[in-house]
Amino acid sequence: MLKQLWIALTNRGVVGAPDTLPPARMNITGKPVLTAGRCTACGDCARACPVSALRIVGEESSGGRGRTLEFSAGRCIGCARCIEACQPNAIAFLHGTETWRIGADDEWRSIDTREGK
Amino acid sequence: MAIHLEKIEFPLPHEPADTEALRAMLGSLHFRHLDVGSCNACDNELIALGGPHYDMQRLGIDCVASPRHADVLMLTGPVSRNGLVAFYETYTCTPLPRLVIAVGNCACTGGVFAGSYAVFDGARDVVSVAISIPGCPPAPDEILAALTAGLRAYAALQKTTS
Repeated sequence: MLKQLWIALTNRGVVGAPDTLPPARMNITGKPVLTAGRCTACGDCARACPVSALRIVGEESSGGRGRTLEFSAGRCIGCARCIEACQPNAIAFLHGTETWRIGADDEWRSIDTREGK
Repeated sequence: MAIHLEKIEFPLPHEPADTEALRAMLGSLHFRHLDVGSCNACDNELIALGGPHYDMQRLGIDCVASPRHADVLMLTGPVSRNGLVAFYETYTCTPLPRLVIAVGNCACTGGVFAGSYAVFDGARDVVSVAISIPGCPPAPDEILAALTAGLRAYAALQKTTS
């Protein structure tokens, strides 16, 4: 008690600004990425998405080959249900600040693929 | 003065701006935030830009109280049909060269409200959008990146009229 009072009086116990800032972003934003070779284009994520920000394009008859997953950043609300729904754990979210687009952002783009572990 | 919106054709035409004017604007960017049907999530992220953590004023960006002082309109929300008069008045009050930035999914595509009778499907349906920032809501550092790097890239794309 006296020691704490001594520290407070002599100003040695005053803590300044922390050296590292706390993480400012706790929500899921950014864009989903696929781990290479894991996505089977089954469409579970597209069915789980509440805002239809994911879709499967390509022929149904080709048996998985030629079917790709497309993503619309302007529709995603970051609820992460696609990550929960994905059976082979192919989807992950990549955090980044460069999400802006020049012009209207209503395009569908195929999801970027990253290297598998 | 009554505004007869039925005589105006939407989306409003694209207004070209030359690179030098945009570069000069980017040194001290003043934006006016316009809420056209937003749920206030994007508005809160815009408010966070003025706080000590992000501190947009260190970059020369400021939020002004009147569209007559603004260079850029930041639209949040899917542009509700009731908000169209407010949008049109604010847009026509903004001096040239003026840019429109769509903040959030709703302003980009209509978001979760897309297809509703009460809203347009985003700002692209009423005006030519310079930058769109997806996210629900976009994090403040994403908005800051769009206001700095995004607008510089947009200015570089415009033609120089000499």
